[in-house]
Amino acid sequence: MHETSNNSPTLASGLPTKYLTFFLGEEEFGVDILSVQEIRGLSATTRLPGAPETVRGVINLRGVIVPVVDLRIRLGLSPSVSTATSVVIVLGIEGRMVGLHVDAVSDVLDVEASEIQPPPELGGGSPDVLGMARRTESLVVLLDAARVARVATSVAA
Amino acid sequence: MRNEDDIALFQEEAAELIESLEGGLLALEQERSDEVINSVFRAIHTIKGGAGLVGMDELAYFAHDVEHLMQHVRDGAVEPDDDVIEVLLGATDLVRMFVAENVPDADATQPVMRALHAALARRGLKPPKPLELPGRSVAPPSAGAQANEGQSARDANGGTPPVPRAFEVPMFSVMPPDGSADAVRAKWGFLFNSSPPPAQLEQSMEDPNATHPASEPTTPSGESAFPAAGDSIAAPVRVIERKRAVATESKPEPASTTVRVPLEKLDRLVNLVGELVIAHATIAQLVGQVDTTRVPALVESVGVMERHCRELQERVLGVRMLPIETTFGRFQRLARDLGAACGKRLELTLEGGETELDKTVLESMTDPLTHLVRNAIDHGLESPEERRAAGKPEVAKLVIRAAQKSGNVRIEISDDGRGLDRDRILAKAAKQGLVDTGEPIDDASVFALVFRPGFSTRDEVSSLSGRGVGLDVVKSAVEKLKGTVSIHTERGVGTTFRITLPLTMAILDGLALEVAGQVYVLPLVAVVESVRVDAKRIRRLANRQEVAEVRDGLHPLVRLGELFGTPSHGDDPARCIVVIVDDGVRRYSLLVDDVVGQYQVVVKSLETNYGRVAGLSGATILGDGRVALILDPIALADLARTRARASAQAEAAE
Repeated sequence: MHETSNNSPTLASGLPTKYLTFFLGEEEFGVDILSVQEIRGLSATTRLPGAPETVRGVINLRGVIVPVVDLRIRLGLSPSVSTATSVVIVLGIEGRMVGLHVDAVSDVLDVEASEIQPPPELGGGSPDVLGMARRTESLVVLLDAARVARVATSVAA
Repeated sequence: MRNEDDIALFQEEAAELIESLEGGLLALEQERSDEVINSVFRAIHTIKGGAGLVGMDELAYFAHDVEHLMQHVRDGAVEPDDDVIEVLLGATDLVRMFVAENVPDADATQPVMRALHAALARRGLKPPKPLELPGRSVAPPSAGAQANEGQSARDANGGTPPVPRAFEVPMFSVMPPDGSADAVRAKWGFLFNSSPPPAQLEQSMEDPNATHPASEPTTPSGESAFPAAGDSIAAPVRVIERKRAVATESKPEPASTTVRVPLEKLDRLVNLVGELVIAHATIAQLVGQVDTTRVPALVESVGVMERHCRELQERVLGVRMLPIETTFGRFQRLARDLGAACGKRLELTLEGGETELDKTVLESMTDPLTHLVRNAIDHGLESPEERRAAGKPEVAKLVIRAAQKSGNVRIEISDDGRGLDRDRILAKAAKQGLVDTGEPIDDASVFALVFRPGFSTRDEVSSLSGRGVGLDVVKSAVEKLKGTVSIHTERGVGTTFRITLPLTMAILDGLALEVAGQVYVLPLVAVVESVRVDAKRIRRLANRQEVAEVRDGLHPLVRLGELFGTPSHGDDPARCIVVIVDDGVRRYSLLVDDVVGQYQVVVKSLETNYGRVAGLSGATILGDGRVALILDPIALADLARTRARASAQAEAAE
C-alpha cells in the first residue's frame, strides 16, 4: 500500500478515499473502488450497431449483457489496443453495470480528500476528472466513476 | 384483522374463482351439468370462506346469500334457468367488485339481493339465515340480507322439517335406533354443517344450558347454547364437503395439489436454466476440441447432460405456461353482453383453448383480444336485418381460434361480417395525409393503415366499416410481445385478425445469421425463407431502392452489413444470402453473409445495462459465450426506410 493514511473519513468533501488505479498507456488513472464490481480478462466483444466510438460493444458477464466503454477514446486518447494485460473493470453504478476497457490494472490507492488537487483549469480537462492525486513520482488522475459509467447508457436512445 | 399479504393472496385466488364461477354459469346457460353446478358452488363457497378469513366481511355476507341460492340449485330445488343464471351473473359482477375492494354501494347490491331472494321466493324457498362471522359482535348489516331471524333455511333438503335447536337433539347414543335413516342423517348433517367438532357438540348437548366452549373458552357465545354458525369459516366448509362426499359416495375432495409461486422466482429459474444450457453448450464445444480417446465416457456424459438440460429447460418453461382458455372464458361473457347491447345476434365459438402460452404473454394479450372482440361485434358484424338483406344467416359467427404452430401461437379472431371497405379506408387515409393518392397501393398496405396511430375512421366510416379505432393499441401490444398482427378481409364475407406470438418471451426460435463475422438472430416467426440469389437478381430501381427477385416476387432489399455500418462481403451478392422477412405487414429481403443455423436462444435485455438500440429487440448468448444481437424485423425495416430517406435528402441537398 502506497501513501498509507489514517483512513479518516472525507464526508465533508464527499470524495472517495480508496481508488483502484489502472493504466491507459503511460498514464495512471483511478476510480472509486467501491464502484468496482469485478475485474475480468478480455472476452469477445460484440459491436453494437449505431453505438458511438466510445462504446466498444457488449460482453457476456455470466449471462448479463454489459456494455464496455473504451476509456481511451472517452478521454481523448488513441483507441485501445488489446494486449495481454488488457482487462475490463466492471463498475456497478446506479443499479447498472458498465465495463471499462483499460490497458492494465495497477493498484489500490488510499487518498485523503485534502491530498486531492482540483483538475487543472487550463488545457482541455475532461469533465470526467475528479482531481489529481500525487504519488511518489507521478500523478494519478482520479475519475468520476458514475459519470464515466453514465456515458455508456446515455448514448443509447 | 386485516393482513395485506393475506388479502393480496385471497384476491389472486378469488380472481381465478370468479373466472371459473362466470365460466361455469355461462356453461350452465347452455347445458345443465351437475359437475359444473358443483364447481360453481365450490367457487362461491371458497370465496365466501376466504373473504371471512381475511376480514372482507361485506363480501362474505354477500357471497353467503349467493351461495345459498347456489346451494338450492345444487340440490335441485331451484332450476338453473335463464333468470337464475342472470341473477347469478349479476352477483358475480358484484363479487368481482367486492374482491377488488371497490365495494359496491347499496344501489348496486340491493337489486341483485332482491333478485336473489325473488328467485328463491318463486320456488317457495326462504332467504338465507344471515351469516355470522366469528369475532364480529353485530349481526351482518349485510349487503342486503333481509334478516329473517329464526327461520332456518339452512336445511338443504327443502322438504325436511325445520332443524331443531341443539338441545333438542338427543345424543347419538340415545337416539332411537328405529328412527328413519333420513331423519338421522338430516339431523347429523345439520350438526356437521354448523358445529364445532363432535366432542364440543356432545358437551353442549349433554348440558343444554352449558355455554359453548368455543375457540375462546372464556367468551361464551351468548344467548343460544347452539354454537354460532362457523366458529371458523373454514371448518364447516370441510365438514360439508366430507359429508357430501360420503353421501354421494364420490371421490373425496383431493388435497390441494398446486403451489402458488411468485413469478420472479420462476423467472430466476428460467434464467438460471438458460445459463445452464449455455454452459453446457460451452462444455460440449470444448469436449469436441480435446482428445477424448483416453476418456471415451466423457463424450457420452456430455450427451446425457445435454438431454437433461434440454428437458429441464422445457419443463421449467412449461411451468410458466397457461392454457389460453383462462383468458377465453371472459369473451363468452363479453360477446353475450355486447351482442345484446348492440342488437346483434351472434354465436361465439372458441377453438383451441388448450393451447398454452406464457403467463406474461397471455396477460398482456387480454386487453388487445378484448379490443378485437369488441371491435368485431360492434363494427364488424351487421345487424340481423342487414344480414338477412344480404342473404346471410341472422345469427353471425364469431370465432376465436388458437393453435400452436412451430414455436409460435397463432390466435385468430374471425367474423363473418361486412369486411373492411378498402376504398373508404384509402379515402380517409388520403385525407389524413397518410398515403399518396397518386401511387398504387396493395391491399395489405391499405388494411395495414387501420393500425396507424392517428388513423381513425370513426366519423365517416364507422357506419360502414368502423374499424381502426384504437387498433394501433392492439398492434403495439402485440409487437411488444415480439409478435405480429395481420388482417385478412373480404367485402361482405368477413374479417380475420391474425395474431402470431412467440410461445414465451424468455426463449426465442431464431435463425442465426452472420454479417462481418458477427452473429445476429432473426426471430423465426418473421422468416419466410432464405435463398442464395444470383447477383443479377438484385436490381436497383429508379428511386435507388434495391430489390431482390426471389421466385416470382420482388422484395425491397436491406443490406444488413451496410445498415449496421459493418463491412461485409459487400458488392458480391453471389457470396451472400437473402433472407425473406415478413414483419406481418410487408415482406422484404435481408442481405447477409451467411446463415449459420436455427437455434432456440434465451432472450436477454440490452436495456438492463445499456439501452434501446435501433433495429434490435435484445441479445442472447451463444454456445461459445459470445453475445449475439437479436434483430427486430419491424424496427429493422423502419430503420432502413429512415436511412434511405435521409440519404435521399442528403443527395438532393448536394
